[in-house]
Amino acid sequence: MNLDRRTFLGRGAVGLGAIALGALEQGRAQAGAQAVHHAAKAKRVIYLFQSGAPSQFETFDPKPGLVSRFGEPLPESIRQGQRLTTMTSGQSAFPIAPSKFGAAPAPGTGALIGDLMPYTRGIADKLCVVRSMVTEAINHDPAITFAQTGSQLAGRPSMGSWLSYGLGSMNRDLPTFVVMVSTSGSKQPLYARLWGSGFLPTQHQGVKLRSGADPVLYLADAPGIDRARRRGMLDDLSKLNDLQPNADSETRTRIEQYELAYRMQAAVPDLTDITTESAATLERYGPDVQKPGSFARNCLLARRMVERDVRFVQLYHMGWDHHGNLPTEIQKCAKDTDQASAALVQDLEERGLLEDTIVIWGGEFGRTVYSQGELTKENYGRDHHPRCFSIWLAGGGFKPGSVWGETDEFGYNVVKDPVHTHDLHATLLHQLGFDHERLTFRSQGRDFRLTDVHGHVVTDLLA
Amino acid sequence: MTLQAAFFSTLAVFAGNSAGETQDSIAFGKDVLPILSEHCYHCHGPDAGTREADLRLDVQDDVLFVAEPGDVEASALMDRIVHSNPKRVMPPPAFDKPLSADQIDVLRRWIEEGVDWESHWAYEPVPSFGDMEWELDEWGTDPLDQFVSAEHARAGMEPAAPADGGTWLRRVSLDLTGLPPTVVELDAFLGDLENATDQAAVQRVRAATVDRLLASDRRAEHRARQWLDIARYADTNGYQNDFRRDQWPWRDWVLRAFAANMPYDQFVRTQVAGDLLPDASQESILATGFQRNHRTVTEAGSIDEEWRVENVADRVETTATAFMGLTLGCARCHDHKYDALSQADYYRFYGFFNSIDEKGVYEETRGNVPPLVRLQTEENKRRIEELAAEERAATERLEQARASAAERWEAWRAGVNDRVELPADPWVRPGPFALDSAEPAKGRVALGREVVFKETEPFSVSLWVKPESHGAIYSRMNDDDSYRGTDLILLDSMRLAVHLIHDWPKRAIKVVSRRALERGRWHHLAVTYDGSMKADGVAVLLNGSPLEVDVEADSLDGAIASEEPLLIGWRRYAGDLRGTVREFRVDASPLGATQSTALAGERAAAVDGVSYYVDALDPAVQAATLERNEAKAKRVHLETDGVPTAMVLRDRSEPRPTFLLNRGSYDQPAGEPLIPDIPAVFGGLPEGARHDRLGLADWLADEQNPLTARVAVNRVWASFFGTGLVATQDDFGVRGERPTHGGLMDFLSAEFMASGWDLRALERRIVLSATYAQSSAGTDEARRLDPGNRLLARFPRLRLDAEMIRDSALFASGLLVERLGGPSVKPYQPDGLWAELAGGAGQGAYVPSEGDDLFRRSLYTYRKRTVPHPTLTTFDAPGFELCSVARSRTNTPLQALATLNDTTYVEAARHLAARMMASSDNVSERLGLAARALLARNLKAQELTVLLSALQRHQESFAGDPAAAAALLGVGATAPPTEQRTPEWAAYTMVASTLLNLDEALTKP
Repeated sequence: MNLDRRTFLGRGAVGLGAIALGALEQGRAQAGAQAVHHAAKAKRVIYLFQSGAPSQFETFDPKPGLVSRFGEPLPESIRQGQRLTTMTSGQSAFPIAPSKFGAAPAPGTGALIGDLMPYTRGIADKLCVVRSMVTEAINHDPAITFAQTGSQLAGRPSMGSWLSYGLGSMNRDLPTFVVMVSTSGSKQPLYARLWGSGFLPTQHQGVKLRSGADPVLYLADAPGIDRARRRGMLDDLSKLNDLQPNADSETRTRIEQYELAYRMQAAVPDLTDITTESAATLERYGPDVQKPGSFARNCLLARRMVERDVRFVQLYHMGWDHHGNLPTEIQKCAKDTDQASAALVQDLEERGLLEDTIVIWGGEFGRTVYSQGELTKENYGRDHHPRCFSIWLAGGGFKPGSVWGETDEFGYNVVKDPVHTHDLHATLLHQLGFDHERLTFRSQGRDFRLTDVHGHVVTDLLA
Repeated sequence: MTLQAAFFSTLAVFAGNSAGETQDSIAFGKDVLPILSEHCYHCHGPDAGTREADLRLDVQDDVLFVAEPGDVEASALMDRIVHSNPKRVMPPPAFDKPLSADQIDVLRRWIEEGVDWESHWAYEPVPSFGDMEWELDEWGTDPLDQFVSAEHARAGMEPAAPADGGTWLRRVSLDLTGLPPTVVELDAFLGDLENATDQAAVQRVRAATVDRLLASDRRAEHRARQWLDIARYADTNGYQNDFRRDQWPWRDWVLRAFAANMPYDQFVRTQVAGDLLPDASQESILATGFQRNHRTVTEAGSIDEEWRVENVADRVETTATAFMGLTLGCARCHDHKYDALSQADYYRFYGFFNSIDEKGVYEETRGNVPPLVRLQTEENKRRIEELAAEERAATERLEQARASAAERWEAWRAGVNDRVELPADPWVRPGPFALDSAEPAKGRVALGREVVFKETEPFSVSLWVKPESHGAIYSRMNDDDSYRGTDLILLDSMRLAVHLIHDWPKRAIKVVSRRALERGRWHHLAVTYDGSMKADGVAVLLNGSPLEVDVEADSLDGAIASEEPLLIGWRRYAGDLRGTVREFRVDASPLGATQSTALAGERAAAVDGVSYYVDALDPAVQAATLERNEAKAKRVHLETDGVPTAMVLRDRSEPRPTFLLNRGSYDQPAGEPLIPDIPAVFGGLPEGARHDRLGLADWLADEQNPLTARVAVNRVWASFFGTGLVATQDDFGVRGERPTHGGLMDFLSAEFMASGWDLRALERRIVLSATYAQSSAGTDEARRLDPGNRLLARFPRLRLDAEMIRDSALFASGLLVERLGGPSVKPYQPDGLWAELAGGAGQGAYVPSEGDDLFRRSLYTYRKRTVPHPTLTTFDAPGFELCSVARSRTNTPLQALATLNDTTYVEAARHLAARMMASSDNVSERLGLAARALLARNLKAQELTVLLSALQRHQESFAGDPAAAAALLGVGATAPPTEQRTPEWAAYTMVASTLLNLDEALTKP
């Protein structure tokens, strides 16, 4: 790879991580942004990942018909011997557990949405709900890794990394790919690989924005160093670097990175300072928005980021893994996420950002119709279920006010228009201007894609 | 032809191959193969699954079918690639990889010149160079330089001038040890150089330095650190909860191997099959930990075989990449698209690693998972043998006692006539309840909700149990509702635990017996409770005698009644018991020892009660059992407590059959069992070889193996020059790049093997070469002609690796604590990083080490896979999840923030400042010291001017703001007392930080 880094610095839209790193990727780097394959409908993505896997029954694929089948065994004709996790494969019975919660048609679209999601139901006319998602793994680690990287196994780049690699940055002083994490008190862990860059150069990995005093690691200057001292020190550093006997283009790049760091020290606090938000805006996101690190606050920050042209904002909300005590636990998660998710979509729309920003809400798989553990009128649990789950998308050219796909009456199998996780990835890339089969990176002699060797663009989801 | 002549003709051939000289003839491997592999092999290559028209362009016979040597017109190949019909032209337009005019021209000339064919260079054995006498030109100091200068000459470039002494010393110190030279070493080296009167003397001075560095432990640490990337070594298991493991003893084996300069063939052989060697030892078995460093699943609910297959696949791919540079992983789901590696080849290779005595899922298990090796000292091993002998003797006595017990039973039975009063109206379910693992677990023995346990009311539960496993003996508890209820469980230590719980763990009683139960024997148990809501109101009786217990919780203050039924042998999160339970009895008062004994006696006195008597009541058996158990406990204690273990390879006694897995999927085995073997392209294992890991290890370590030496040489080369002679370090296949510099790769590989696979000798010859000694400046001409520096007409400037950056800063500031090996340590890390992601599920918060362990080399930094240490990741260290042979080198603002503000670097700056201030009274000399410590050179006048003015500015600024000075100097565990925090020191600290952040300080010169 014989590219002079300066050529890339001259590209203009260069931000964190978009610096080309020629000789470094074993002479095979494909530095900076790749050319898009067709006109993009969307420029940015906000992924509201609901980690632990929300139940489709209580949220976006209600099955009121199951109420009359309370406790009945799930017919073998439905289960068809599909594999189960070893948490329930030993159960002697698979009793049907209808949702304890009601559901109602959304205004405008008529889509049936659970009562736990009143705010989201209120904006169903802006959403493209997909009830026929299908994935492969039946355990969290491989399934989340699959949802985020297109492979169950570690080592592939995350979706955000692919976009950073494919599209580069749109801003000069913030990261391209930002990650934020919140929880409803869950003990289900997340893994740095979910926003890792895999075999892509490491500058494409997600930057985790934290809720504490130092939102980006080491952002705050060391104690005793004020802005003037830092500025003076960086000026000295720059002069000395220029005097260096063997200075080369990499030296020049390093000087620029120090300047970018200096700008980030101002830009990130500006980004996370929500005091400029109107009372009405804050109210819309709900009371939790006042709590740093909450899902609501992260949603608001996500909007502030896309306003500043951060390319990919990845939120994780932990807590949806409801093997037992589902009726109690799911209410917490719904309360923590429903209002703010809806507020984000509305807020983006009012600011004209929804048009070219894709918002995705969903988890890694669905949950079983049968109860894990004992079923009572008041209490039940649901095991992991990859055969179907529900997500929604908004903005970025996805068809508003629509519902796609259908599951059987037991919410067990997809009976119409399945959308595989690979298909979702392909469709997202399509909206961002890429043919998913052609956005590739060579590693170990093979041209890798986000969609591996699978995936179809689901044009029916698109407006 | 003389050998010398052979060498030059070799060069001539390579010269002929060079691009840019249009009259050169076409060489298949260099010119044609890259085109065919990129544009054609997808459909006309090794993969039978996607092959079109039954045509292979990776096989000479097929090629000759479509390419007529010397006759372009008669060659179907040419016809199709220039075809005007889009339906006929190749590659098809839909494939989206059209040939350029230049490429078509290459193929045309290739046919015109006779369809030259050669097998892939990397699959041919390394040629012998014999005992050639090398005539070096004026520039070279080693034959390897002749290969390099030949390339320079061909490209019209001159090599760069030699680097100055300090630069060379800093470079070679960083390359061999990962640390810069000390000021003392620098001065001594420059002094020696000054006294060197000719080139030979200069070489001697350099050689002495190199020998010193190569012999150091630092060099072993540096090389080990590089090997850890390939070995995907880490301190946690890597999936989901990412529990701790203790694999550092294996890492220390690597350190010892490098420190002893273990021959590389042995290094490979021991790690692949150290357990199968004829003279296998604890140390050689430990080496096989290499193939257990892969991640292991503990997530509850996962399917065992699915993840065991992943373990095996990881070993296959790591072995192929690490030792052979083969992308064998590409053949897991289908035949390889480009290399002659079939899917069957993959699974035959897989067979080598398929018989490990392991599981795929170690559900919620913390720590190391078997197979393990315990790392005993010799003294311990001797003592253990003694105890084992005692144990055997006691076991013999026990057997004798058991053999004669029936007689005593008869006598005892005849004498049982005491009537002991037992409580009236017991609730009894006699059973027996056979708890068979094949049965569905929950509810197999549900005894309803009739019996209600209350915290304020006394009760006793009595039963006979013959356990075959650990697990719940009985429970009436709702695990999903704060574990409310009560139970009796056998822990995996086979000790007994009783819970009475309102809300676990805050409002509960838990007692645990000190004694463990034996499997396969009858025991009579009674749990009694007096209704006091106190732990001392709970007793556990074994065969009528109260057991000593440890109280683990004693804070019950609420209801324990549970809506869950009374279950025998099951509780959701306690595991299901296998064995038999009988005579289950509940009383509404606490039984005493006499009553419990009497209850036990009832069964034993029955006509068929002999086994109950022998197991539980016979005094002689009981006494002998205790003796045996004591001897065993002592042995086990010595074997396990405080004895480190490591995860290693051990095969099952019966090998697992290996099948090809359709689409790589664990549940789709196909066809006949496969015999483990190496890929067919290498001819299979030699006749008479073992078809197991040892056979594989022997083949890998054989001089006839075309890849092992080349891959190792390439890696060592890349560690110095940033890029290997083969740029694609992880791919020596047809899509990989070909080696640069003519036969240099083969020459070094041949010499490496001839030296007895001596890594130190290999490193030594490279760093003492003229190629290595070049300045990184290079001529303008060389920069223009070779901007990527593949031909090495200058030395490549490269940013330091993550570990080197931190270690250098600690070292130059005097903070580095050098101590070889031991458990991993936890240097500074921003608070909360683990908790944010792990939610506490893994192992709680990151607690930084104290004292020296804050300042150990980064090699020892704790590696938590799901939350890697941030500065390692920021500077491009891999995540240690998979085998990684090359790191990227990025240049980002996050790196700037780290070296500016991370506690490590602020503290290091303060220490460097203190060093400067203590070194001299002269300001310029102080600054000069820092430059020599960090950059191995003196400051230039202009640099000194900048630094003096900076120092003055900072001094004035801090003098007016002593609080800021105190704050800056207060960073880190070694902060000085407040009264010592002077503005002057703060100013020097700022200057030191400036120097630590210099591009030059972060870069190998």
